[in-house]
Amino acid sequence: MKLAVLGNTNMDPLKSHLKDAFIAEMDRYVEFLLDSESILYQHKPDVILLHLDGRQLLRDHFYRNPDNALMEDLTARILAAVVAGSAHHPDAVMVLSTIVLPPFPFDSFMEATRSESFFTMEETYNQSVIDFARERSNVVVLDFARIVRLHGYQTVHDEKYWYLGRIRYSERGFQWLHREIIDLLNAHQGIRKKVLVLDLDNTLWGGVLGEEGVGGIALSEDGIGKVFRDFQLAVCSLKNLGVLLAVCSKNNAADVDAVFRDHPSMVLRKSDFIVTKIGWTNKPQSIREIAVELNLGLDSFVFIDDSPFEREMVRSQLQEVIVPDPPADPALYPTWFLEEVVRRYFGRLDLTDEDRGKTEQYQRNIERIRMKDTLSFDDFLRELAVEVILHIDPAHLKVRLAQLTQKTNQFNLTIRRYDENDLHRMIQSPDTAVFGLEYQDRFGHEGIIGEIIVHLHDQVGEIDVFLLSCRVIGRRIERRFFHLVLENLKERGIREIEAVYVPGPRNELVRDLYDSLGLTPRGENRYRAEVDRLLSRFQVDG
Amino acid sequence: MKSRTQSNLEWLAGLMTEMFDVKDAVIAPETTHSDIEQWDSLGHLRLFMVIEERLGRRFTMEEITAVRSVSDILSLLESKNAEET
Repeated sequence: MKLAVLGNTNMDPLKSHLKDAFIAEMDRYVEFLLDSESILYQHKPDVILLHLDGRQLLRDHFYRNPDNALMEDLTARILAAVVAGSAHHPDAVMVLSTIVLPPFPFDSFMEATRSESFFTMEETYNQSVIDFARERSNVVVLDFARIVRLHGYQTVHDEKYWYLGRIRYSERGFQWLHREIIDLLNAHQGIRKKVLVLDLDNTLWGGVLGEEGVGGIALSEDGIGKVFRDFQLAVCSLKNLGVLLAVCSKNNAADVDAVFRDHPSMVLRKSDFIVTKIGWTNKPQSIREIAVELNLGLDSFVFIDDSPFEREMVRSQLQEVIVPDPPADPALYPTWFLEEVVRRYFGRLDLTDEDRGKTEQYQRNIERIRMKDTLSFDDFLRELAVEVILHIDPAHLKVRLAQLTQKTNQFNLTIRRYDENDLHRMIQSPDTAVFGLEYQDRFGHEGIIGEIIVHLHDQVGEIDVFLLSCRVIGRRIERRFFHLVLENLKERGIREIEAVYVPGPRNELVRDLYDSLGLTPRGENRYRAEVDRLLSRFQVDG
Repeated sequence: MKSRTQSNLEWLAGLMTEMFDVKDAVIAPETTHSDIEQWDSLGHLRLFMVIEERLGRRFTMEEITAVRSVSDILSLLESKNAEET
């Protein structure tokens, strides 16, 4: 991904962290945004970061007791330039940093009471930027003010290098900014983990349950027990963001059940966990089992355990699993979790309805799996009573459809990743057909779980994307989906289909999909077929 | 045992190699700005930002701008060492 950084101070030190980024000369951001011929556009960035320093925005006015009207005027001009920049570069994601003004007010002790304070000015700019981004899917906010609040103004900034070379931030300031950029872009692209696996003793509560009993563990409204209660509250809200929770603990199952059932300070309930592995199996093995049961890759997992031994064992045997090191002091545990785990691995910019009901969805899946054991597969499918709805060029589904291209690794023929803007463009384009598949069965509504994108040239449809969410793999949905799409393409005058299978690290599953759907192989994983022939074949097959 | 100057030189050479993307052998006490292309005025500031961060020490603007060669940096590091011991 190509990143361009625009600023009003010398941002060159970011280059040490982002080797391939284009760092524009300082203070030329307005002309770079406005001029469609500028070097910025020649660089063709995927992401444009506009990072402005509040003090430099005010220039000499900073020392002249400026008022909020000045900031309002500056904000309007900057956002106008951003609008022009977006128009010149519709495919680029615009990242706008919030600003910070230094806490050195002239009316020294009156800051809090004056409406024309630096704080008000900061809010003027930042709130405008946030409102601006909320209305636009290709604009996101990097909350630099948050970094400054977290680490402190004087730690993030460095006055000396400002005077030596117009460099505003300290080395650490740049490191934190760099990390925020990476985390934000990951969240924007939907790159995040799906499952949080938790140990129990000294993780969800203090002490060792097997030794101290239900009444002896530290979990309460005061003292060290409150640390663990706060941690559980934080974990609980992560669940509400669509993250799946699992337990992996060496303990007696009956003791653990007693805690979940009887302990008055437990926040998390057993039903909050999609899977619990409680016993004496080694943890890498248990985590592998969880991955199989959930049908998710190990690279979707984060594992939290206080024991360095267990962490090392998981790290060495399951390299894909993220295993963060908790702080030695338990008091830091809840805030460590929020900053280093939640933001870093589960950070996100928007929630879809599918995300909110994730645990329930997976639970229904587990019920389906159990049902499958007792029935023939045909009976199973019949009893599932699957209903699908084809959505054609659905503009309102672009967020979900982009998310599916980002997250689907197994049933994905080409593994092409698209963002919301790409989807928007393809949905609007007459040369591209975008299909979403909605699914429900007697256990529940799964939402949009399938996606096909076809480029149309004359009478030929070239399949660019064909994917199904892993939640519905193995229910023969792909045949129905493909059939519905072919019927629509036929109505559009498409007579032939071209398709390709692009092998990736985890899509072995669909290597032979096009063969099984009746397309003719043409070598190098390429296929071709006549639409009419495929449609008549489906009628025969039923 | 290595002298303090010797171990400071090794540390600094490693840092400059990493930052300026040059071979270790090039960096000697007599190495100056003109010997390393990336050691321009901006590179100089980057170098001191990282030196300060890694050593947890601060130098003044004058000290930083007066430096012309690797040996100038080494004397700065030693003066600071001397002050703090």
